[in-house]
Amino acid sequence: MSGDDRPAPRSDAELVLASIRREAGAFEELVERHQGLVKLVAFRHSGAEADADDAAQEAFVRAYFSLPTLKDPAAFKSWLLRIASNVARDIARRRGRRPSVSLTLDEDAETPAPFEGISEVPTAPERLSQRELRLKIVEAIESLPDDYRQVAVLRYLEDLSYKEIAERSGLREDTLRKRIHRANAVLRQKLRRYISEGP
Amino acid sequence: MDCNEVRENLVAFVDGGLPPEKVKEMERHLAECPDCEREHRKVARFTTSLVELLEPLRPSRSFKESVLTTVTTHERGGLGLGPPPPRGRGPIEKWLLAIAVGLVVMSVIGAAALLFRSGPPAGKLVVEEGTATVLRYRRGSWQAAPERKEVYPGERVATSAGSRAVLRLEGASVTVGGEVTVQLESTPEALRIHFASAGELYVDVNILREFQVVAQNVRVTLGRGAANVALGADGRVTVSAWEGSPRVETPDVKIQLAEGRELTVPQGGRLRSEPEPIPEDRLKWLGREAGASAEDGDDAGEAAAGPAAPGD
Repeated sequence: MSGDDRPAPRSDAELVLASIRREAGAFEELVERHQGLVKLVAFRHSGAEADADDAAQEAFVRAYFSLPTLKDPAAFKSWLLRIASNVARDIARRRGRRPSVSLTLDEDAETPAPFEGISEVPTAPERLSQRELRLKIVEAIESLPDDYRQVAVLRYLEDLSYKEIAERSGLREDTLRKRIHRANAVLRQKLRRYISEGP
Repeated sequence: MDCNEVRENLVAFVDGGLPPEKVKEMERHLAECPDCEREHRKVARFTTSLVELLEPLRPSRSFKESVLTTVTTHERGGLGLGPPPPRGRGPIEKWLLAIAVGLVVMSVIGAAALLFRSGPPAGKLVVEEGTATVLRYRRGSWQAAPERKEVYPGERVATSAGSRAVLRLEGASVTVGGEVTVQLESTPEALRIHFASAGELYVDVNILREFQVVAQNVRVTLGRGAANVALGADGRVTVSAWEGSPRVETPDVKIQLAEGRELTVPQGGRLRSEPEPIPEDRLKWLGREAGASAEDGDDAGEAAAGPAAPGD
């Protein structure tokens, strides 16, 4: 992540090495930094909200004990996300669930329900179940460039204020505002078919 | 502030991320510009929907603490979610029980296989494949499952002296150390097997589909209910039960047990004998009282373990 004027938070690589040394707070910072994205990846690959939390926690625990085997500490995030997707897929497989990327209705799917405003749109967005809709959103967020994705996860998933996001990311607030604005614009474009913006 | 600038700040305005002076400027412009006000409503609606839809996926406030607690517990060997044991252990010291539970999960239940072989010392359980889920454990008194509930291949659950753990196995193959008592309990809906080792390790398994038991040096107790049990020429015992069957019957087979003991299961009969009843305190783990009918709720044990059962 690129910090601006604020003191940049320690990089993933630094935190990984500190975690291996059992430095207090280092792994905690990694968890805090990546928990949202890991949770989204876990959801997308397990296909169920109920399993995503367990899979995400398990991914962090596995990652922690495997840190010494990580050859490139700078690649921590992608490595962690791979663990999360593997754990989530294992869970889905054990439950006989199809990979969550499939949007075929299954037993887990909730009854399709429009949400606020949907009936007001002249051209109704595709009606998806809440779960399918979440999968679409998660896919859209995951497809964002890394800088946008990070702030989108903190803002829309973790529902943090700009101040909190700025503190956590080390970004200046004006930079943060621009990134969230861009992320929001891309998400609106990608999700236009599914989420109504009203008249 | 012109329209372009307003549009660029709309998201931050909706999110409450603008400084007060800019908020006032935005409000003034929106009050006078219908186009920007329309765009404002769209952004607000979209953002609200996004946050609301993602809310179920939000990491809980305790997420980080849960991970850290599990890691700490893991490192200390606490409940016994210890780091992976070394592979390829030394000389055989004791017969061990290996349980292969091939669970085809129907709700939360499937099929299993059980076998004895050499492995870790008594009171230890090593997951070979699949997943074991810690439902409850007792250290002094019964406690809810630990934050880290699932045990993956290569990891072990080790109970310290006087402690016990109740686990659910799903598609798991595990090795249990020590002399192990296997207790079978069936209901019309499912079959439960309970393993109790000399090391005070208890494993409860719920099964709906056929599974196999390969056992040596094992004491088998058929408790309340009935199950299909078959004995192979190699000493392999096959126990099967079926989901939704109103009555699970047993063929007439003999099961060779350790120390020359033998158990006969009558053909077509329902086993009602309880040569070694399940201890009352263990029934309570299952959410039942001793002597309750088998129909008292197959899921009682699962319910008792509620928080530990992902996806339940």
